This record gives sequence, structure tokens and C-alpha cells, in this order.
Amino acid sequence: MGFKSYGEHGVNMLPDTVHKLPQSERFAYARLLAYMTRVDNELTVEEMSMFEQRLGTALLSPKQRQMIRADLKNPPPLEECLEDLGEEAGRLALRDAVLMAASDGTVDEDEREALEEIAEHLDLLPDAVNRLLKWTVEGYTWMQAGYDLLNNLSR
Amino acid sequence: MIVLLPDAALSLSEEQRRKIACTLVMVAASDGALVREEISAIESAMGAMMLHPESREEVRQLLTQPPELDSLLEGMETAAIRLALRDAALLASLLHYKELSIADIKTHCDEKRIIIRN
Repeated sequence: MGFKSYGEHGVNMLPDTVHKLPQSERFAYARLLAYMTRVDNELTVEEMSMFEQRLGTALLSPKQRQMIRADLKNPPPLEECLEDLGEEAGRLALRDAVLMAASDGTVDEDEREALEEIAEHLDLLPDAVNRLLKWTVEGYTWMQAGYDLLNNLSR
Repeated sequence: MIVLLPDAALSLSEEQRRKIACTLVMVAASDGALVREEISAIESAMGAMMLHPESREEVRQLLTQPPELDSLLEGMETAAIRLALRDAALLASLLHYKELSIADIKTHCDEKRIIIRN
């Protein structure tokens, strides 16, 4: 398996491949994220925003969105979420689960445990979650640099 | 000083956020075609901004009839324009030929001679 940023369109900056997954896997991906929103029993605005962003990227059908929103209220067991995830979808879901867990500025013990469980299910390296968290911190730093840039664009 | 926090778009009004999304539609449609990647990116932006479902529906309607830039920028706050510029740049990076619209937006921003006051 190999992730490509943007296949046939050449070099691009901000690609994603979630929308290219089969619909059933995009649904499974979204269910896992819905599960993650409830791991620490609180749903912050930042987490909700990140969840909605990823849901948008996945281009789910209206019916699927309804089901995912129901999952937000009654999250399915983790094992059930992981069942339908293929290798690529699983890795993307783990990446985005890390983004969501970190979106409110902290990753608590329960969230960390869930992330490790997902990584283990996907048979990833023991430091997978740590590496993804490091990447996430770098990403937020980059985003902050973007805001700094926006604040300094005046003549 | 205009404060642009990580959740800057969320601090804007629904109308300002809707205008940002509309700007993205305008940029994406500037070449007369909308590809799946662009639609995914627009849906993603609308999700991140937590637009109301009705606003999202309004924005989706524009996919077939993109708005004019001038009408969009009318009434847009400085922070919203800058966030739209940022997100349009991200969107435009999806496909090379979107760069023209980005230049259009930047020119308009320049024309408005936005001054950030401390």
C-alpha cells in the first residue's frame, strides 16, 4: 500500500485521499471519528469543528450523515467501528482521530488509549501514535504560522 | 490588531462564514468545472466552519451558478476576507489553473487598502 498525495494531477500542496475511498469505508472512517468524539465524555467546539471538517471531506451521503450524527449520541463500540475499515481507510482514520483528539489542545489518557488500540488493530509500529502526534503538533504550528502571516499582509 | 486565532473562522458570524464558503465556490468554479477534490475541500471547509445546514445548502446551490466576487466581498469583514484568501489559496493548490482567481482576490484586498490597527 502506498499513499499518493494527488495521483494524476501532479504536484499539489494539500491533498487528501479520504474522498477516494469506497463509500462503505468512508462511512466506517466517519464512524470511528464519531467514536473518538465521545472517548473523553466531552465534545469541545474544536473537536466538533474538526469532526465536521473530516465528515465534509469524506463526502458522505445525506443518509449516512444522519447515521453518523446518531452515532455521536450513541457511539458504537470501537471493535464495531474497526471492523469495516480497510488498511488505507484505517490509517487515515487513525491520522484524523489523532487530529481530533489533539484539537482541543490536550490528548487525555482515555483518548491516548483509544488511539493506541486503533494502531494496534491496524498492526502498526509501536511508536505510530507518537509519530502522528508529533506530526499533528507540527501541523498546528504551521496553521498558526498561517494566522501570523494573515496578520502581517497589510501594506 | 486583528486577532486570528486557530478557531478564527468560528468566531465570525454565520453570514461571514457563509461568504467565505461562497468565495471558495467562486474560486473552485473559476475554470468552469468542479472536480470531486474541490467539492470535498469545500464541504470540508464548511464543516470546519460549522456552517448551519441551511447555509450549506445555499452554498451547494451556488456550485451550479457561482457568485460574482464583487458581490461576495461586499460586506465582508477584513478577517473574513483574509481567511477566505487563505482557504482559497489552499483550495487553489489542488489544481494549478486556479491561480488566477487567487490573484483576483488579492487585488481586491489590496484595493480595499486594509489597515491593521494596533
